[in-house]
Amino acid sequence: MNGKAVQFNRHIKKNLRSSALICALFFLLFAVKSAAQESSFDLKAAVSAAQPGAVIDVPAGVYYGDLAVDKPLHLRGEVAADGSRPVIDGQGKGTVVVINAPGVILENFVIRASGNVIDKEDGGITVENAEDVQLLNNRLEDVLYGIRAINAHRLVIRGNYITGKRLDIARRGDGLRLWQSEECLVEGNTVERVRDAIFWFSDGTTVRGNTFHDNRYGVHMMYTDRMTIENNYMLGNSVGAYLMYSKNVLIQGNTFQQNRGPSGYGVALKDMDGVTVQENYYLDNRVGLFFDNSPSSVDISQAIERNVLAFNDIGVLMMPAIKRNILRHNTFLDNLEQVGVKGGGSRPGDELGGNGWDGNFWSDYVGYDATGEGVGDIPYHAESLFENIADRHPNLSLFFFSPAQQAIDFAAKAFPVIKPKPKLTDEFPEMAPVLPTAMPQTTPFQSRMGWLAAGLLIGATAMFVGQLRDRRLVIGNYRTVATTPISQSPILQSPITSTPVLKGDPMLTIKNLTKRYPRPGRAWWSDETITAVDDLTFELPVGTSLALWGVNGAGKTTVLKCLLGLLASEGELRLNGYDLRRDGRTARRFLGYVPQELAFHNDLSVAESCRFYARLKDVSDARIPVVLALVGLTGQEKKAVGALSGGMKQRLALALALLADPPVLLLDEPTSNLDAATRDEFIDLLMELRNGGKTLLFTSHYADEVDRLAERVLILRDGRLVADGVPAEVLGTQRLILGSQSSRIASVTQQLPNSGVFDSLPVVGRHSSVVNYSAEEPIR
Amino acid sequence: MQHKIQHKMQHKLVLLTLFVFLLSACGGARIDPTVPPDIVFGEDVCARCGMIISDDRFAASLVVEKGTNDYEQLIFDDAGEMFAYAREDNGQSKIVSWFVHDYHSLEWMDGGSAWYVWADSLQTPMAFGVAAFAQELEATALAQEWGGEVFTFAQATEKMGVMQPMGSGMHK
Repeated sequence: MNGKAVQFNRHIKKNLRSSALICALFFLLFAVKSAAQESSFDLKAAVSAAQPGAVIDVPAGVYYGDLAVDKPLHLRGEVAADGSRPVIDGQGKGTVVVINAPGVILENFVIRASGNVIDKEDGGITVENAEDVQLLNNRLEDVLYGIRAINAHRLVIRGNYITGKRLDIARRGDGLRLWQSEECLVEGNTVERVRDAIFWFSDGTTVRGNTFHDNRYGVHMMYTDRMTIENNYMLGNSVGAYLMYSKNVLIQGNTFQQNRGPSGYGVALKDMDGVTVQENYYLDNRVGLFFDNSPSSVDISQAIERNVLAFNDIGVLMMPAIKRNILRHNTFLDNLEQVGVKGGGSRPGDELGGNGWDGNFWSDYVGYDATGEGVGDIPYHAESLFENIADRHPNLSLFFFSPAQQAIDFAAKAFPVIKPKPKLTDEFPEMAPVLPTAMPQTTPFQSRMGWLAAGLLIGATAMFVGQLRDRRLVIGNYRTVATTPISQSPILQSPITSTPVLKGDPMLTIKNLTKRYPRPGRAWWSDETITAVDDLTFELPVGTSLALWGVNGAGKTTVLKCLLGLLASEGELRLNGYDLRRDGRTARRFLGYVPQELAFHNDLSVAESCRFYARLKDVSDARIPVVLALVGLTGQEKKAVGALSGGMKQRLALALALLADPPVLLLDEPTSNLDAATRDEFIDLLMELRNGGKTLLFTSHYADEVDRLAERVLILRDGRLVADGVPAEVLGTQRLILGSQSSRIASVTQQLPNSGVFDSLPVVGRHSSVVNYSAEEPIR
Repeated sequence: MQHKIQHKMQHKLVLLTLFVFLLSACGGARIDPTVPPDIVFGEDVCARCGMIISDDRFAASLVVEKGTNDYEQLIFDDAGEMFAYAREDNGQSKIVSWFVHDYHSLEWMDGGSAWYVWADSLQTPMAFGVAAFAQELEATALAQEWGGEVFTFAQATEKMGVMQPMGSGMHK
C-alpha cells in the first residue's frame, strides 16, 4: 500500500468515526427528547379514577386524545420552569377533549392536532350539555374547530390562544362556536386563522377583551339577544363583527381595523334592534359600519355615539331607506367617502334622511365657528355628485380623488341643475373630534399585520393631538384630499436638527393670504362665500415673536390653520424657504403647534403621554426628560394627565410640541383657559423659549400678554389687517386694559355694549383681562 | 387660462362618462339556467343575507328569469336561505332552477329532486337546520342520527311557505 492509499484509508476511517459520533449524538438527543415528551402519568386513568370535584395536577408531557371528561373535575396543567405545559395531542383524529359534565375546569394545557372532518366538526374542545365549565389559559393549535359549546350555559372561556389548521379560509372551522349556550363569558382570548367566532342562540353572552385576527368574521352572532361586545380588537378579518337577527346588543370600546376581505365591514348590523354602538374605533376598513335593515322594528331607534371612523373607504354605509339610527358625537375622519348608500338608492338625497346626523365631526367640513361654541356656524352637507354615482357603481370608487372625480364635482358646481341634493345634512357639526375615553385596542403581533396595525394606529390616534382635523383641501372649485400619510404629517416628524437661516432672516413669509368659506344660509346650489382672511401679508423673522390679535371671528385661528395645512387657502405661504403648499410635508417639520383645545387621554400618565407622542413623532424617549424640564414638569412624570391642573396641562401640551425641537411654535390662544397667575407663568416660559431662539406666532385676546411676549402685533378685524406694529405703539391709546382683579371686570363689562369698534368683544374667563377699543379713537 | 382648464375638465368628464357606459355595457356572460353556478367559497356572498359563503355542504342557488333568455343566478349560503328568498319573493320572479349541494358528495344537484333533512341540532350557516341529499337512504340515516325529519322538495317548499316552487335546473 503506498502512502497515498494509507492516507486515504485513514481519512475514510476518520470520517466514519465522525459520522458514527454524530449519529450517536442524534440518537441520544432524540431519546432524551422523547423521554422529556412522554410522561409516565396516565391522564385518562387519572380522570377515570378521580372522584367528582377532584383537582388533578397534570405534569408537563405529551398525552394523547381523545380525552373525555364526564365528571366535575379540575384538570390543572403544571407549567414547567421552562414554560412548557402538558400537551394533549389528538394525532389528527376526532375532537381532542370532550367535556360533558358540569363544573369542569380545564386549565393550562396545549391541545393540538384535531381531526380534519368538517362533517364531524372535529376540533380542540367540545363542551356539550354541561353548565358552568371553565376553559382557562389553554393553547389550541392545529385544530379544525377550536372550542365548540352546545347547551353549555355559563361557560367561561378565558385567556386561551386558538389558531386553526393551515387551510384556505373556505375550508376552516370556527375558532369559537357557541350554540344555545346562554350567559357565557369569552374574555381575553386570541383567536386567529379560523373561520369565525360564532354565537347562535346564546343570549346574555359577553365577549370582552379578545383579539380576533385573520379570520373570516371576527365575531359573528345571530339570534343572540343581550350580547355585550366590548374592548375587543378585530384586525385583518373579512368582517370584524357581523351581527344578525338579535336585539339589545351593546358594542363598545372595540377597535375594528383593516377588515378588508370580501364584504370588508368593521361592523355589519343586519336585522338588529336596540343596538348601542359607542366609543369604538373603525380604522382602515373597506366600510367602517354597515347597516342592513337595522333597526328592523319601526318603534325602535338606535344610538351610535362617540365612535371614531377614520381612513375607511366608506365610513358608514347604509342600505337604502334605513331609518332611526341616531348618530351623534362621532368623528368622521378622512374616510374616502364619509357616508354612502349601498346601491345608491332610488331617491338620492332622501335615503339617509330618516336617521339623525346632527352633532358629528366631519373632517371635510369647511365651515367655521365664529362664536367659539365648538359647533360650526353653517351646516355640513355631504353633496358630492361623484359619490352618488360611485354608490351606484362601486367599481368607480377607484376614481376617488382622481381628476375624474374632480371633473364631475366641478361640473355639478358649475351647473346647479345637476348639483345633487345633499346626501345628508348635519345642522350642528362639531368643530373638534369627539374622542372615546379609551385608546384604540392593540396587540403586539409578530407578523406583518403588527407593523401595519401599529402604523395605522399611529395615524388614527394622531387625532388626539387635535391638529389633523381637516386634511381635505378646497382649491378654487375643486376638492381634493391631501394624500400625505398621517405618519408624515407635520406633527409626526423627526426632530429638526438644523435651521438653514440666520436670525433676522424671514422664517415665515405670508403674501396675500385669503381664506373663504361658504356663506351661512346659502342655497344648496349656491357658491356664495364669506371671507375669513382677506389678503393678509406679513413676514416673521427667525427668533422673533408675533401676535395675531382680534376678537373671535377675526380670522386669527384661520391663519394658523392655513399654515398647518388644515385649511386650503389662496396666496403664498413660505416657511423656512419652503412653499407650504408644494412642499408642505417638509415645511411643516419646522412647526410645533399648541392648540387652544387640548385633547389628552386622562388615564395616561405624563410620561406615558410623552412616550406616546414621541413615538408618533419618531423622537427618542431620551428627549422626554429634556422637554419636561424645559416646561417645568420634572417630577410629574407618574401623575395621571387627568389629575393635572389646567396650567400643567398647558405645559404638557407645550412639551409635546417641543418634542421634535421645531424652530417655530404656533400657539392658538395658549393661555385662554388659564387663571391670571398661571397665565403669567406660562408667558414667562414662552419668553424663555423665544429668548432661546424659537420663533413664535401666537393668537391672543389679552393685551398684556401681547405686550409681554410679542415683538410685533397684527390686529385683525373681519379677516383684514387693521394695524401692524410694536405692541406698545399699536395698542397704545387705543386700548383699555384692565387688570385681572375680578372687581374691575364688572365695570368693563358694563362699558362693553357702547364701546364702539368691537361691539362683540368677548369676556374671556372670570378672571381675564378685557381689552377694548375706544369708539373715539379708531384703530387706523 | 380658466377657459382651458374648463375645456380640459369637460374633456375628462366626457371620457369618464364613456367609461361608465362601457362598464355598464360590459355585462357578464349569458347565463344558462340549467347549469349551476360556480361559487367562489370564502369570497362570494349570499344573495339574501350578504354573508360570505364558506361551507359548501349547505350552499344553494336559484335561477330567475328576468326576460326572454335573460336569467339571473342567485347564490345562498344555506338551503334555508334559498327557500326564504323564494318565500319573500312571493311569486314576483319566475324561478326556473333550484340547485342545492349534496351534503355528502358536495356536488351540485337539482333542488327539485333532492331530499331535505331538517334537524334542530344541525348547525347550518344561517341556523335553518336544513341539509340536502341526493339519496333518500342517506337522508333518512342522518335524520335519525340528528333527530330530524326528511322532506321532499314539495314538502320542503310547503314547510317554508314558498308560494311558487316551480322549475328545476339539472333535468331541464
